[in-house]
Amino acid sequence: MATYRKGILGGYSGTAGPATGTRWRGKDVLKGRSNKKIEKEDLQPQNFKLTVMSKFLGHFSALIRIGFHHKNKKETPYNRAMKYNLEHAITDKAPDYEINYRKILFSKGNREPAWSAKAVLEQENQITISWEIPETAKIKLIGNDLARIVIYNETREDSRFSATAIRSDLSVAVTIPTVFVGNKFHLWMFFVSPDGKSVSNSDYIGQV
Amino acid sequence: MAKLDGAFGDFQGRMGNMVFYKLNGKTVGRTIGKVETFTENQKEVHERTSLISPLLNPLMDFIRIGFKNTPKPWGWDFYSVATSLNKPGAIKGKYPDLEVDYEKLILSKGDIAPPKNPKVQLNGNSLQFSWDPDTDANHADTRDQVMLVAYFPETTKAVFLTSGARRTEGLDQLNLPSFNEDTIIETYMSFIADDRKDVSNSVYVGQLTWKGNPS
Repeated sequence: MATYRKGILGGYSGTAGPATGTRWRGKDVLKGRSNKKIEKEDLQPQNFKLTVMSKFLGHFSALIRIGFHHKNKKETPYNRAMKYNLEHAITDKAPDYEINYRKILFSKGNREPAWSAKAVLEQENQITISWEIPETAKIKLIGNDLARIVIYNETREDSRFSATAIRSDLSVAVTIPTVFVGNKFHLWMFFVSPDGKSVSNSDYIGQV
Repeated sequence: MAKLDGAFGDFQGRMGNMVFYKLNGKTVGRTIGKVETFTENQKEVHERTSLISPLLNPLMDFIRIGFKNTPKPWGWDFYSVATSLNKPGAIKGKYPDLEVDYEKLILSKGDIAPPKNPKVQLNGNSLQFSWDPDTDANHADTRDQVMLVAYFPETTKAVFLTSGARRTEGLDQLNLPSFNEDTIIETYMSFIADDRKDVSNSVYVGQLTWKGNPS
């Protein structure tokens, strides 16, 4: 993949002979036309990791755009999330990689994190999530932070989000659609400042 | 990284794979481009940084106060002082078996007298700190306020208080949020002067364990 400043033709998009021109994140990019076919036996162990992780993180791309937002525009938020989670949240050996749900991070930042978050299956279709605020925290500054709950249905490989509560509410109830009742859920949460510019690290709450 | 003393004049820009630019008022030069091999010594520095930097991150607001008035070279800030003290100091073992030495960690540095005989106890949901209210020590004042830190190494989170009880009271408490699992707590303590112009050296008080009730 090549990038170019304005040449004699300027930036162009479309395929011309062996090259394809396009625009990606504000840059004019020239790519080769792909005709390679990769056999599965030739794949490196890294590729299996990527499959497992992108299958999982793909559900959360909208959320990662908030959680891994950074003023450095060279990498996309999704790339940044992928990089972190591939390094930290993969277990087992090739080619049977598995995701360590405890270590997964959906957001990375300096804001006050969630303390002692708990998830309880209150009724069969309702999960109640609660958290605490330490006394030393600056409640006036962080009380209005939006609490973002991430729910992953392991059985159905499906994801749900909730963003209705603020930090000073201390708890939130999430309803599960009746088709998903009895499935295994993993939950995470993180906080976002009201202006959306500052996030906390996400925390694994547990499974229900 | 090279520092220029004016032998080549004051210039910036790129020359081959060297790049020169201004950093904190000094002209510095370094290699630019992808570096593929690191020496053992460089790897050790990487390792030390990767131990200390996540540790200081949740304590950032605390060390901002703790190292604010520490004497430092021109162009340094609180974080430079914190890393330059703790990167060699608060790590034990020999590369590649490096470990954080929580007892040696320094979170504030200054002239006033540190807490004498500091003790800590976990009482229900709160940490009870106590010390000898000794005001005869060097630079100690009755109106010094205590600063308390509880750090949780397993989750790399921290709770701290930067303006607690006065020195004469001899005890203060730090209320913690609850934990679902067994958690190790490392505690530190230091004093800050009433006019916020000076602090004491921080002292390591002890390690405690929170007995979690799995629910």
